[in-house]
Amino acid sequence: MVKDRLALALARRLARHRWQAALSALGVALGVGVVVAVDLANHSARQSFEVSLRQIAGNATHRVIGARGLDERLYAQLQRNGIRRAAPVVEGGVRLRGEFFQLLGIEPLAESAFRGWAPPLNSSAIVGLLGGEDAVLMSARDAQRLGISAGEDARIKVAGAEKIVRIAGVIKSGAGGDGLLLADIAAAQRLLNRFGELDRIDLILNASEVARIKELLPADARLVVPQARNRARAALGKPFQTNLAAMSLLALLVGGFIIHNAARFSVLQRRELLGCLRMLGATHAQLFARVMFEALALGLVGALAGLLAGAWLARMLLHLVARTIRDLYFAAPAGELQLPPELLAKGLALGLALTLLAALLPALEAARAPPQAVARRSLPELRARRELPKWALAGGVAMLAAAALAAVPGGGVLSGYIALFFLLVGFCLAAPLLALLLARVCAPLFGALFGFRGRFALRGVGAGLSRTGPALAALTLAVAATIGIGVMVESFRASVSGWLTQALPGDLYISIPANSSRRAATALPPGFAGDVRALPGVAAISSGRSVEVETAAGPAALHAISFAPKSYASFHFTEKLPDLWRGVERGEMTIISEPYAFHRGLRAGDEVSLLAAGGARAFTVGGIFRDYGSERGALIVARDPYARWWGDDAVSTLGVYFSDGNDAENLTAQIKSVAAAYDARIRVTSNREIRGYTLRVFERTFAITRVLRWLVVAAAVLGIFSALLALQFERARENAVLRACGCTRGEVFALGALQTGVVGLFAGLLALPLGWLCAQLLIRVINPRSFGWTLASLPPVSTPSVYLEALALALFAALLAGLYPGWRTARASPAAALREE
Amino acid sequence: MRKLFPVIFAALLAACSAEEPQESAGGIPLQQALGAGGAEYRQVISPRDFVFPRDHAAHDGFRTEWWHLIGTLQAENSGENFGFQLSLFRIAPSPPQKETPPKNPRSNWRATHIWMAHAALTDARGRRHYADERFAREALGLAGATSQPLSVRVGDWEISARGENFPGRARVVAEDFSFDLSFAPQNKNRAPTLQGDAGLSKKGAAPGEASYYYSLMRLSASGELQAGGKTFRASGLAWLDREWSSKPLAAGLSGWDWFALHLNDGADLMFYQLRDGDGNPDSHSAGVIANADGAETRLTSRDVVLRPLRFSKTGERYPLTWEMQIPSLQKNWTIHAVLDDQKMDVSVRYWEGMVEVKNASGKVVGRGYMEMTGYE
Repeated sequence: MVKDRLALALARRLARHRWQAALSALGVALGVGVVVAVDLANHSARQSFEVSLRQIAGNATHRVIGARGLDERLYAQLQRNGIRRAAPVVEGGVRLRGEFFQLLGIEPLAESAFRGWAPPLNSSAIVGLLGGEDAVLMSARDAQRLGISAGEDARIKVAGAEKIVRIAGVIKSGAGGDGLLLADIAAAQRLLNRFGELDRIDLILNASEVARIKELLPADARLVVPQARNRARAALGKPFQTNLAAMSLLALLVGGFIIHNAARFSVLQRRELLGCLRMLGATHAQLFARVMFEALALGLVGALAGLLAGAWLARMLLHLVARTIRDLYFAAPAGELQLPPELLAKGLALGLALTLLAALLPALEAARAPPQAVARRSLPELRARRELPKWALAGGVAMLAAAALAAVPGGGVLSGYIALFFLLVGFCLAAPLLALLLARVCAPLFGALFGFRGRFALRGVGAGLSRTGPALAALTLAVAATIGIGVMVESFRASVSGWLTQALPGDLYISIPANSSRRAATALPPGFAGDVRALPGVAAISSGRSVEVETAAGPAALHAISFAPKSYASFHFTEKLPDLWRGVERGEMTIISEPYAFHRGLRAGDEVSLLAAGGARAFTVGGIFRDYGSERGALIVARDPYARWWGDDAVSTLGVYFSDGNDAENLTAQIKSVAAAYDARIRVTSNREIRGYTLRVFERTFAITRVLRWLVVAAAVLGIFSALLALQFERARENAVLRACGCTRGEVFALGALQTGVVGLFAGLLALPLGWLCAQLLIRVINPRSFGWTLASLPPVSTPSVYLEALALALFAALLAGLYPGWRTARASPAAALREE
Repeated sequence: MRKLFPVIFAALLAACSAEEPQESAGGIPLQQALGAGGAEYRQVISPRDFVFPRDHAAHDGFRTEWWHLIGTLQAENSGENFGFQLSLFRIAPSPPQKETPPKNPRSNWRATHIWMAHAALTDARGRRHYADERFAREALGLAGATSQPLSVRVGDWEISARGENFPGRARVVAEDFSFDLSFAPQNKNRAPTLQGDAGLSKKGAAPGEASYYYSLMRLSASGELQAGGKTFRASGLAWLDREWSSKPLAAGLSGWDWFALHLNDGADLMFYQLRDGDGNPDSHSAGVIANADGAETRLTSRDVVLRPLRFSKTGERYPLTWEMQIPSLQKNWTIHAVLDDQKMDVSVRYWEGMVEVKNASGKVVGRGYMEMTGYE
């Protein structure tokens, strides 16, 4: 009976502050929503990435690959020798209606055991494939999305050339086949211009066949296990996704502050009531349970709303995540959103756990409320201030732990994130004390600037710290995060841009864009390079051949380069051996990019084994160079040894160096006309254009980061809004006295605005050092540990805009949040407020 | 008389349309499969002059053709009974004149013929039936037929001879069984049996609804086979059926029951019963019985009365025991499946397996093979 009354009494009080309740639920909703959205988008992207790898690999237990693809006759040889469950594959990337598709050339007659989603052998879809040299199948979903129906012709672009295919049918089997064009191997060879060769042979082998097949393979072919390779490829996207997940947790952290704030407020506001209830016989435990229950109820409502919002948001994020993965890893995830219940449950649990954690302290406070505290309003405020140094000390310890974690050499990505978390939380714990100190320091300045109002506002902030502290901390955290991420992106861009300037010493670059093969870039026509070199005004050319080669640890990108004199200077080595270039030219050494070294754990002087035409060939790592071109990394060897050992003297890229004092425009036009005479697909690009394009891709990669940053800020604005709203209610009487003493509404409003402005300003000021620290962690610890990239660390003066924007953001966020509460206070009738007294 | 599904397959290939992209062969009505196309291929209209051994090799221009080798063997030491089957099918997806000229340069994978192979082994004592299939296109030496030396091959499953003519060899290495057998006509001087009207076997009333069909009915066979992890040396009798056609079945038929029997008295019997849409015997059912001395007697639907006595209990209702009466020859046999489950569980389902022939008093008087379709 007492318990019910207790609940009722507290609930009534809460109902009067339903705005407060709604806002704290919204805070949780936002936090949970962002976490769930990122989680879902990540999961779906990863899932479709894996599905697309798996569906291409099928049920194969093994796979035969070659140094330069495979001679198609090997397949027949295996068949004749009783290796029956074998499926030849020719594959390449094509564009259909501007979208990337994987053209998968198969032998339908050998398929049934391999790719379960492929149509059955006795279906007319497969029959349609066998029927024509231009017939392809696509998934029903893709066909519907693109508005293509079976029987229609469609234009595809293969290595820049346009070809016509007939959509012979659609595959209706579930998730399989999305992003694929399935063709008979004869058609695929013709469309991709890959006569006589295979990319691989998929196999289902038993133990005795494994032994047998090894004797049948030529020296330049290798038997590999596709599952391991798929895992390795899928793992590539992981650091990127971990980054997103970590950012989403920031939003949740901010949400936690909001609910903490709200719970704390509800306790403060109901102190009298709680004191009365204690006097009436309510136990500590009852009050504790009551406050926790309230918080939990709000948390539950918020978390549930967060799940809905998260699912909705994930749909938008998925597009960005999938696009980034495509840009970074050259895979084509289908991008279908999935809603696995365990992820939703995880989001819900996270939201509730955070709510409980955030409400713990206020609930304890409520339970501890002494009955006589009814009249002593100043008591909690005093205690809160007394405890500030304790919190700050705890914060200091946390930040020290962060520093220690960051300093441990060879630590993982996770420890980097934990360090970041400690740093943020530690700083936020210390934030109220810092704000108080800041208020003291600023007092004379404010007095001088705004007179008594300035001092009044500052004191008010100091006095109200038990209420404004968490909100201030939340805003600090959010703004610091935007600084950290902003600085990181800026220094990333500066690094990439600097690298681009150095890495592209040539004036023009010539290639055929879009590969018809996964394995090798499209070759330039023979004779073309010589013709370009012979043009007057061309000082030198460098030529390159880009292929995928097999290493002991799976496929890797290899560039075989014939260097121009200026090429050598285009490499910036992080480590190298002394006689590096001679070793490279002789074919004894390779130079590898930083991410490649990072992923494979290689140092200069180590050895790598590459599968060449005559079998495995060892190279010494002569140097490790900075490269932001590929997250997977790449190896470089000299072209002459490559041509000899791989039996491939094709050229896929030319770098053209003009001699000084030439009319660059005229020469470019000449080269373009030479190119057009050879092959219309050849693209001549200036180094400036490449730079521009690369930076555009870069911007796209960070689009999602920007979205998340704004979500974190939104959560913080919400937090500060709810804190200020509550604060203004608290101040109702204070303001009434001011009004009664003759202040106008405008003056009261201005005073309120000044106070909230102070909160925003302080949060912004505190966020500056924290943001800088975050950026250092991201640049020096987390990024190298995630991707292997060394980024230039920019001093704050070189990116002042990031810091100034953040400060303005904090100020603006606080003022915006203070608008409505200020307006309400100013409008309140002083008589009504004073009557309560 | 041989299989329906290559026909279906071929019809599908010829009539491949985008309108029904997902229909499976099992779901396509027989009439449709058989009615479509066929006319642009070479037709079986009038009797031809068979020339051996040349006719053992392939006859391009006809839509489909097959080499069908079956036999019953006995293990030399332990006496177990085995039955084996190797069927190789050549299928031309498009008629020769309708083949689109290859675009240049052409892929070596472009093929005008595709091949299908079915292999099976029945272990009577172990009560197991093994079956496997494979497909390949006639490209890059994956499958194909040559005449000198004779070789008909899908992967490493092959019927071959040292020269143009038999004796020959049949080799299969399948998932869980294998056999490698030599075979030769028991009587070297006996000419191949031309089925129907001098080798023109009518399958319907319309012109062209027929096949060229001959059989080497009595071959002695011996060699090695592996099943259930054990290797056996075995010998016995085999039978080779050769048939090619562009329209080997009339529309409106639901299936057939085909028998190839080696009788202990030296006679060999082939009979196929075509069934109409209601399951009743069709008038084009036909066969032959050849005595030990080679004298052949033609059999028509009026001569042979077939009556199913027992059916499989699970799945399709295949008749497993038949009564066969040939009143004109005073024959009254029962034909028993040696093992109930000899279903070919491959891309197309049918029943094909080893049988025993018993006389009225229950004595085994012959062995052979039986094939049944259209009970699905």
